[in-house]
Amino acid sequence: MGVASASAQPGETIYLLVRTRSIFACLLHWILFTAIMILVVTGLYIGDPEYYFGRGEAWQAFAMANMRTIHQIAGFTVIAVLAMRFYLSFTAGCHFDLKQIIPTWSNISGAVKLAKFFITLRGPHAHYRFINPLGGIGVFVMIVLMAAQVVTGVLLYLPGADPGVWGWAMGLGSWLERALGGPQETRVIHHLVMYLLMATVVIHVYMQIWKGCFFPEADIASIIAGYKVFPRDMLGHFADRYGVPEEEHVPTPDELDRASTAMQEAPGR
Amino acid sequence: MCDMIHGSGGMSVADKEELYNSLDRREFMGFCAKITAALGLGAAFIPKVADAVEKGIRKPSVIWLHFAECTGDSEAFIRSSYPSTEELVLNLLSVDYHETIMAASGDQAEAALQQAMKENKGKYLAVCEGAIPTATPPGPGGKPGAYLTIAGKTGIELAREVCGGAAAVMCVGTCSSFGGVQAHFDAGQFVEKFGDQGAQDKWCLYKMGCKGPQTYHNCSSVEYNDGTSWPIKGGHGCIGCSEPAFWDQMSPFYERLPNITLPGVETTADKVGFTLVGAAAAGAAVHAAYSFANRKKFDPTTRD
Repeated sequence: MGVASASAQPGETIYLLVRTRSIFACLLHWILFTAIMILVVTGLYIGDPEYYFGRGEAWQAFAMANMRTIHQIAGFTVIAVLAMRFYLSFTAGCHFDLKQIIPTWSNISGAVKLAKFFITLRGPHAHYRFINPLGGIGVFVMIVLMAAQVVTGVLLYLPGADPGVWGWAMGLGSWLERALGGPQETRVIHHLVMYLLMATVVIHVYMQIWKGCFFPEADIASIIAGYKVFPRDMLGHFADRYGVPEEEHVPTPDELDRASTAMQEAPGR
Repeated sequence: MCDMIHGSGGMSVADKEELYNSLDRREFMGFCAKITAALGLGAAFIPKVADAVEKGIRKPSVIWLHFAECTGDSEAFIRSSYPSTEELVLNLLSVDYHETIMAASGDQAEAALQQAMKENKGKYLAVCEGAIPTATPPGPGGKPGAYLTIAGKTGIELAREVCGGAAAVMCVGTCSSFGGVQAHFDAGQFVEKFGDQGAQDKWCLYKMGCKGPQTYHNCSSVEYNDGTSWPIKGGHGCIGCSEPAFWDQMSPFYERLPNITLPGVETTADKVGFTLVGAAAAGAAVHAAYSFANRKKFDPTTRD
């Protein structure tokens, strides 16, 4: 926990920088974002290609082949990022952040309470240092959708894959494809889940912006460098206590000055 | 027989071939023995006379070079029926160098190439299959065209060496003629409507629902009805008729994707998707307006 503004004039709010996740987790988020946007654009092309990209003689153009290659590279990037993020989840936010994503009963009840507040804008609501339970459920849904895209994407990739590398998966793949209703149905699922994922992206981005506009903490900053900006007076509001001392110590102006100096010298966790 | 001897000096290549093909080996050697006797030479000269006659009716030598290609043209060449492949390779032509079908390999193959070029200098036919890479690889020691080397020679060097001494150079297939082949699918060139300009230019039928990219049949190379044609050659998309349960799994035949049947309505994945994303965006907009209108009524700092 660091200090953004050390000295307060009377009536002025002191904001603290609160660590929410490691810089690597932030980096992975944006790699994932970029890869998914590339997947959507190239995927829409592959599903319904436009001649615009394939102009010229056949030997001059390589649009479909390039789009497919980029799509496949971005797809494997998503797989790699999800695997790395799973590993990082044990340390990424200075705590085990899978706990907030898995829909346990306490997370679900917390999410229902927040959803109730979010819809009615009335009544009490909790503040969270890390992902709040409603956001956690949202992230869980997004992970399930991404996993579905990975599975159906690999199923569509397998028939043209190198048997030397993918041979082990081909028997299972053709069984799974039949179970889903065949290659055409797999393709439809791949399209539909993409749209579902885009709908969750719209909701995800909207809710982050909404929090930034209406809640006292500047939450959206936390995905850039891993800190959220939080009013010092509200430190006791955190409903999640991971990494926060039980007895909240509200620093004196002297302590804030010292902490500020220390942070400038050695910014970090 | 006398006519043959009499006319052999002014025979055309075709006549010589006819002569050659009209005799079996026994008859041919008998013919050579008669000539040897007529010249007053001993029996020991019969093989020499036979050799001389054979050289006189020598078949055109062919050197077939492979560059950046898929061997599709060679595949077509060795699937010839009229004349048959063996007749083409052994009797009508003398295919002296062809990496795919020759028995020799390594040094022996290179020796065969050099021998064929030396013996038939200025007379052989050079057949080039595949494009010749010309780019220079980066880094020290990279020479132009080094992306393709055969027996230590780049494609460029090989083409210069072999084609320079040829009677004629023949480029087979689109790679050697126009520099590399890509299918219309990879190029991104698709028929939008049956009968449009793309269809007339034999572009890819992917957008017309062709299931070619996801089927495994060999009809494109074997062709139905005794090698006559196959659906795409006839301008129709593939319906995956060799695939299991294709009537269900490959349908619809004229669309990329099957429709989605929801209670009371049949729609497409795109329409469902646009509706979903649109609903999410509309919901966000409504909620944003609602939040803004109520911004003074709710306490943002409340604690549970």
